[in-house]
Amino acid sequence: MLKLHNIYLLILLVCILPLSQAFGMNFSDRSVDYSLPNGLKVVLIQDKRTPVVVSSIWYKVGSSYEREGITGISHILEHLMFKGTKNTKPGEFSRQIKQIGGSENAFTGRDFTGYYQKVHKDYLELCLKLESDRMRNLVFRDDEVRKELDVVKEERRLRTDDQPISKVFEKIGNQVFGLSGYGIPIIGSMDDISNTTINNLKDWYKNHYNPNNAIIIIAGDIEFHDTKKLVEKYYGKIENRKATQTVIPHNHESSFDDIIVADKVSQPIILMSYKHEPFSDSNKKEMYALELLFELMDGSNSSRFTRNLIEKKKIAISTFISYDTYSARDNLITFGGSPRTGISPERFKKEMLNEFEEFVSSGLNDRELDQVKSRLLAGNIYKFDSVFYQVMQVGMLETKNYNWELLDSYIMDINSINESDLKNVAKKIIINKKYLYSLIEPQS
Amino acid sequence: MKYFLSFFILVFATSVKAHPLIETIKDNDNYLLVNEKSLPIIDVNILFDFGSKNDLSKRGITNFAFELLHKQKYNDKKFISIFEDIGAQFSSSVSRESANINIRFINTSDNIDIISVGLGKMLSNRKISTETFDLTKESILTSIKARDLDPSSVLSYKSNEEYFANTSFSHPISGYKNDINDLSIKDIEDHLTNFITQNSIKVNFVGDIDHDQAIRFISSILADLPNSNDRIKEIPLSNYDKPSKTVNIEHNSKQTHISMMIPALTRTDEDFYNILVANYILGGSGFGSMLMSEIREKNGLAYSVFSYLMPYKDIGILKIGMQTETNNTNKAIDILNEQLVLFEKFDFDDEKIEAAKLGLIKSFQVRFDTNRKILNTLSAINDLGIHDNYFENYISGINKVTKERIKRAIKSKILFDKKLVLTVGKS
Repeated sequence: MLKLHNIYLLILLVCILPLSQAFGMNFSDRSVDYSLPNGLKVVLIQDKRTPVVVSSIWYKVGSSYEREGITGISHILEHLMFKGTKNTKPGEFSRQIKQIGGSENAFTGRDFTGYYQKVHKDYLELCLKLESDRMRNLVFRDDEVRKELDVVKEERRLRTDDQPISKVFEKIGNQVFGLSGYGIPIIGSMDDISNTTINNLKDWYKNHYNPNNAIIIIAGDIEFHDTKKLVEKYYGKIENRKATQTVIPHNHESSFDDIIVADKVSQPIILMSYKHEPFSDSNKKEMYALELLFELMDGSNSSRFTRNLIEKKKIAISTFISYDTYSARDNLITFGGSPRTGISPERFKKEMLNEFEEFVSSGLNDRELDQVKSRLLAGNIYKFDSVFYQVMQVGMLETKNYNWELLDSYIMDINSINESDLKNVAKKIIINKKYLYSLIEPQS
Repeated sequence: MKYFLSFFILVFATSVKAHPLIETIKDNDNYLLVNEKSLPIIDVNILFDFGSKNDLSKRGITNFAFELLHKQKYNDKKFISIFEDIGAQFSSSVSRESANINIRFINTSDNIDIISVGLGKMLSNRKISTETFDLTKESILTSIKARDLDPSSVLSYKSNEEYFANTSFSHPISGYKNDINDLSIKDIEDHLTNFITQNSIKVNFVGDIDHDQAIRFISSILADLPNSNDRIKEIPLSNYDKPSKTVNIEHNSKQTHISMMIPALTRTDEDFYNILVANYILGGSGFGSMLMSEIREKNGLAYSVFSYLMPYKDIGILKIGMQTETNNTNKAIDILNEQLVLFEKFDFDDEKIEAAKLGLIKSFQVRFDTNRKILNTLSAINDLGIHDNYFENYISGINKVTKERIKRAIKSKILFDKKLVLTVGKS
C-alpha cells in the first residue's frame, strides 16, 4: 500500500524547490526593462504560450496619495478615463477593444491606478494608441462626471455600505492612520465622492498622469524589438506636465481603542489589527519570515489555526489573516475569525494569541516548515499560468518603487528562512506589540 | 539541473496553437485531455453527474457530503492535508446538476501517484468522524444564517425558490436549517455510496500529463468504486410556466438588488448561437451593451448590470441582474423593461449584429490563455457532451447568425410573457 504521508517530504526536497527555482530564473531571463527619455518606465515580459498580449499602464497614484476632502479621487478618475478624449467619444475606448475581441478593465489601489487590455497579439498597437491618447487628451464633460459620480456612489453602497466587515476595516484604518496613507478608503467617503469637482479631477489628472509617473508593462506573445518601437512611437513624444507637489500633513496619533459594533452578521466576528512597518531591503528577511509564519498559522487546512482552534479545541468556526508583504507605507496586519457557538469572543481572542505564544515556546513540528514552504513555492509556480497575473505582480511592486526582480529572488529568500526567524517575528510583531481589537456582534 | 534547463527552453519554444487540442482518453468520451506542456502543472477536474437536484427530501445533503469528502482521514491524516502538503490546491463545489472536484499540482510522477491514489481512496472512503461531521454541520448552519443577511444571497436563493417552485431545483444548494439538522453521518455516507460510482464520473485533464499517465490516473480514481448504473430515471425539468410577476422581498439594505429571469433555451438548442449573439448586444458584453449603456452610462443607476444565458440540461434561462439605491428601483426596472421591449423587436442594423459576431469570435480566440480556463471549458463541454469539434462548431455557429435568425429565435425561444422579476431591498 502506498504510504502517502511518508513520501511527500522527498518530493518536496527533490522536485518542487528546484522547479520553483527554475521558474524564478525564467522570469528575468525573458524580460527587459528600460526608461524613455521622458521618464516613462517600460517592462516587457515574453510569454508565448498563447497568442495573447496583456498591455497595461500603471500610474503611481492611489488612495494613499489623497487627503481629507478628496478621498476616492484616484478611483473616480479611473472611471472617467473611459469617458472620451479629444480624439475619442465616451465609451469608444471600450467599444474598440470589444470589437477586436479584447477584454479590458482598470483598478485603483492604495499606491497605484492601473489600466489593462488583454488582446490578440496583432492588436497591441491599437491598445498603445488608445492608452497613450488618454494619458494626455482626456476630456472632462460635466454631464459625464455627474453620472459617473452616481455610479461610484452605487459602487460604494455595494462594496462597503452593505458590507459589515468592509465598514469595520474603514473604522480600523481611520483609528490607526487617520485620513492619511493607508487609512484612506480606496473608494473614498460618500461625502467626498459627492463633492468631487471637475477642477479637482483635472488637477489630479495633470499632477499624476505623466510619463515620469507611469510604468508600461506588456506581457505575452511579443518580440522585444518590435514592442519597443511601438512604445516609443506612442509614448516617446509625450512631455511631462508641470506637476504641483502637495505635502500631506501626517500627524495622526494612532488609537488602539476597541471597536465594538452590531451589524448584519450571523455570528460574532473578531479582528485583531497590528500597525506594521513598510517593506524595505533592510527588513526583507523579516517580511518573508512573517509571510511563512502566517502560512504556518492559517495558510491551509492543516495550518495551526485550523488544526488547533477549529478541530482540536473546537473554539473557532472560521479564521483568517490579512497581510501584504510588499507594503510601501505603514500598514495593517489583521487576523481574526468567528468563534463556535457557546465560545465567547474574548476566549477566542486569547486562544488565537496563544497559538503564536505556543509556537514560540514549543517550536515547529516535524517537517512543518518544509510543508509550509512547499505550499508557498508551488503557489509561486502556479502564478505563471496567467500572463495577467504576471503583469499584476510586476505592477504592484514597481508602483511602490520596489524592483520587480524581487520576484526572482523570492524562492531563495523563502528558502533561507529558518525556525528561529519565524519565532523572532512572532515575538516582535505579534506577541510584544499592541493591537486594535474589533468585534462585530450580530444585531439583535 | 540539466532537466530544468531543458524545461526552460521548452517553455519558450512552445508553438502557438489556434485553440486547445482535445483528446479523448481510451476512446471514452467521459475522459478528456488537453496536453499542455508549457508549465510543469497538472490540472484535473472530476465531474459528477449529480448535484443538489438529487437531494430529494434531504435538501442540502450533496453539498454537505462534498464539504466532508476531503476532510475524511487516511492513515490518520485528512485527504486535503495530504494534497496540500505537496503544494497541491484542492477545491470542490456543488451546483444543481453536478458536483466538481478540481485539483492542481506540480507534475512529478510521485505527485501524480499521491494525488490519484489519494483521490481514489477519498472517493471510496467512508470514514467521517463525529467531530468533523459536527463541525461541518455548524459551519453550514452558520452560512445558511448568513445567507439571509446578505441581499445578493437572498436574491439568488429566493429567485430560484420561486422560479423552480415544486421541482428538485428549487431549494438552495446548501439546503435549509431543519433539513441539515436532521442529517446523520449514515445519511451522508449512504448518499455518497449511492451516487459516487464509476459511471457517475467524468474526468478532465489539462497540463503536463500524457495519455498513458492520464489512463493510470483514472484507473486509480476508479479502482475502488462500484460499477453501478442503478440510478432512478429522472423526470426532465420543465421551464417556468406562469404569467409574468414581480415579487419584492423586504430587506434592510442601502441598495435594492434586482433579478429578472425569463424562460429561454438550452445550450444544445439549434438557436443557441442566435440568442448568444443577441444577448451579447443586450447585456452580455459589458460597456456598450444595451443594459450597460442605459442603466450605467446614461443614467448612473448602477455599478454593475448584466445579462447572461443560464443553460441547464433540460431548460435555459435568460437572466438579468443589477443593484441600485432603493429610491431608484422603479426607474431601473422601467428602463430594464424598455430595453427588453427593444430587444424583443430586435430592429437593429446589420452592422451592429456583425460587430457582435466579430467580437464574440475574436474574444473566443483569446479566451483560452490559462490552463485553468481551458479546464473550466473542458469540464463544461464534457458535461454537455459537445466536445467533438467544439471550437470549430462555436465559430461556425456564430458565423451563421443573421438578423432574421435572431428575430425568429427570440420570438420562439424566449418567453417574455413568463418573466419573473424579484427585488430584495426596502419597499
